[in-house]
Amino acid sequence: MSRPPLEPTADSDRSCAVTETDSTNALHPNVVIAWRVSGLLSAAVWTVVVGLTELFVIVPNWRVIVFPGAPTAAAAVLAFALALTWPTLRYRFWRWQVRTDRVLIEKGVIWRSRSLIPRVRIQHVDTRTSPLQRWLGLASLVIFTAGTRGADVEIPGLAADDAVRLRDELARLEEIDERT
Amino acid sequence: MSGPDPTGWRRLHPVTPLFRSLQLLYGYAIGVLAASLSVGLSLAFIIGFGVLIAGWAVLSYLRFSYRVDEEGLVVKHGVLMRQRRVIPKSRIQNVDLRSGLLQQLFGVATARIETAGGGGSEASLHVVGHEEGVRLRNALVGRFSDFAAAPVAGESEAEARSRLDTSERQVGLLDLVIAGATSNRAGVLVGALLGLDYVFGVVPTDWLLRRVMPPELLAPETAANALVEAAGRDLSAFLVGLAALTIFFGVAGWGLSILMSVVRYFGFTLRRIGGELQVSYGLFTRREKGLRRSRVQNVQIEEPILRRWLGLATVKVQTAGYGPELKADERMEVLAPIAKRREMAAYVQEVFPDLDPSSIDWRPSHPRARRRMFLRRAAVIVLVVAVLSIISLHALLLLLALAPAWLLAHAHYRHLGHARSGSFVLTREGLWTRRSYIVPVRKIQALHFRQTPFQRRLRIGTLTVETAGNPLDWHAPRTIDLGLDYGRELQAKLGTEVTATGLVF
Repeated sequence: MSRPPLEPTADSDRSCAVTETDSTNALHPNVVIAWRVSGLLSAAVWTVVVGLTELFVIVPNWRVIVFPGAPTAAAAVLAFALALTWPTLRYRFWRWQVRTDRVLIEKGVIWRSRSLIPRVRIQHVDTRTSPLQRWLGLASLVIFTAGTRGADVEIPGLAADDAVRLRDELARLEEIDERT
Repeated sequence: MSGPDPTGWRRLHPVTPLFRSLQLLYGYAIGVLAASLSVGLSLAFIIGFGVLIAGWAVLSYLRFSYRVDEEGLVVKHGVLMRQRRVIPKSRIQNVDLRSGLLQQLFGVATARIETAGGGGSEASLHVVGHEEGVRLRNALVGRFSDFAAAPVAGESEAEARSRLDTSERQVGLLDLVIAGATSNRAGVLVGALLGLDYVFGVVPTDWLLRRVMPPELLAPETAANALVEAAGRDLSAFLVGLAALTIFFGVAGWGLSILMSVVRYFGFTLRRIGGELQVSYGLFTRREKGLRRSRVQNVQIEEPILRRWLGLATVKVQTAGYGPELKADERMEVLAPIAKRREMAAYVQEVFPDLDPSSIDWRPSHPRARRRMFLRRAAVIVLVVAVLSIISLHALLLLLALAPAWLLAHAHYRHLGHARSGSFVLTREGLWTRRSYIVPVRKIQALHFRQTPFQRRLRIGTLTVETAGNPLDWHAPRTIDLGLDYGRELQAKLGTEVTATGLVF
């Protein structure tokens, strides 16, 4: 990873039995395929919607279109181009990291965000897999806190066994703290 | 009331079936009305169905019972589907009593019990006697966890409670009038009145205009039309009419705002008994709410511009109990509808006794924030001018508005900031209504540092401090436009501090 580490300051001195991944991690490369497939499906739906709108709403009511089919074609080209290229960009800006005391997530192509979830605030952790993800050997990790939008914290494209390992690891911290 | 039986199970107040069937009949009556217009129903059918509803209300009353034990509140109910729900005391965020006009007449109230999570209320006891409601509140949020208040041998609960340190604050009628006069709501109401007049002509503006303008100038329709007509013919009459209307709508909007404030917060009392906060207010609908201060997620100090000038503010608290299904103005609890700036510290300390207000040292956002505040406004102005100048080049004069926009941007910048004080984080933002938040570090759930494309170009960003309970992102503790490195460092530092507080809920 050529990017600088996420954290500018030194880590806390809190010692913990949990293994630490200290480098920032990218998602599994297969997630790009998953995003492309779902993007292409949306693009297809979008094209049909625009096409039907042109056919049944714009053409009969306004008759302003010089080249019939041009708006639909333009919308389709744009949608399919985005569906193919956007996942690459999204993948490039996605970084996650699990530290002894916190989970860090950095993402966003246009609107950047960097979320920090202290591990002592994690309520529970889910892994989720859709049929498409299973086929690509992927899984999502969803982290819940008591915060209002706690469920927003999701790491989408992890290798399935990584997701399971992380889920168990994050759950283990709670046990450690329960004893002290 | 059914006497407290040995097992502790209690019924709701005996007038419950009445209220329940009134509630059901209200919907039924509308249905009947609609149906009888089209089909024509026989009287026997209407009465028969009404009796059926009343019967159902009685049956569900008989099947509803609850009790308070060491665990918490247990509720059994259901006519066909029987349900039993246990709400542990340690999970209860607040107990709210609410009684409308009719309920006040019967001396009863609806008790709602809220826990963290979930959309709405966890349990709603509709209706209980008022005294019973107070007993429930005391049992569920009052004494619990105040070891000082545990009754020693031979002591009654009331005596035990009297040992706790207490305080009481009231808000008088005059202050409520000031609260209504200084809320930004007056402006919204003026807009609403104007709209109502324009669409329905319900506001007596015609009558008003007939007093101040020559009758031959008046158009038959709404006041707005009358004025537009008059403008072309008689300028002085137009100006007089405009002034009259402005004063009328201003006074009416303001009056309404004052009336609403007085009705809503009439007889406002804040009482603290040990760690329990009790708030009661309302003229027609009386609300009595109880919550533990240890459950408060954050405190919000709201200062609409008029109040800021007068040194006044509203203080609200956020608990995790108010879910997104509640109405917007019910999601936070009011601690003081209006308070003077010098009282503010005292109010906040009722909730956070370990906060030292004198140690709060506000730090401004990054100076480049000014540029963003200005560019945001300038972009709108330039866009409007560009569109208008297609019609007429005189529109270019509107570019002069950039000067006040620059001043506004500077004013806006002065209201952005954040502060640290002991184990608290404070944030504030807002020009027209400034909102300041006070968040205990131990209540922080997550920290997000976000950047819009504009912020990225200026190397600044917004740090959002997420706690439980704030459903809206833009009415939540966040500090706008921190420098990139500083913001990230603050985020990391707060993260470390949260970890140090350990597992708390």
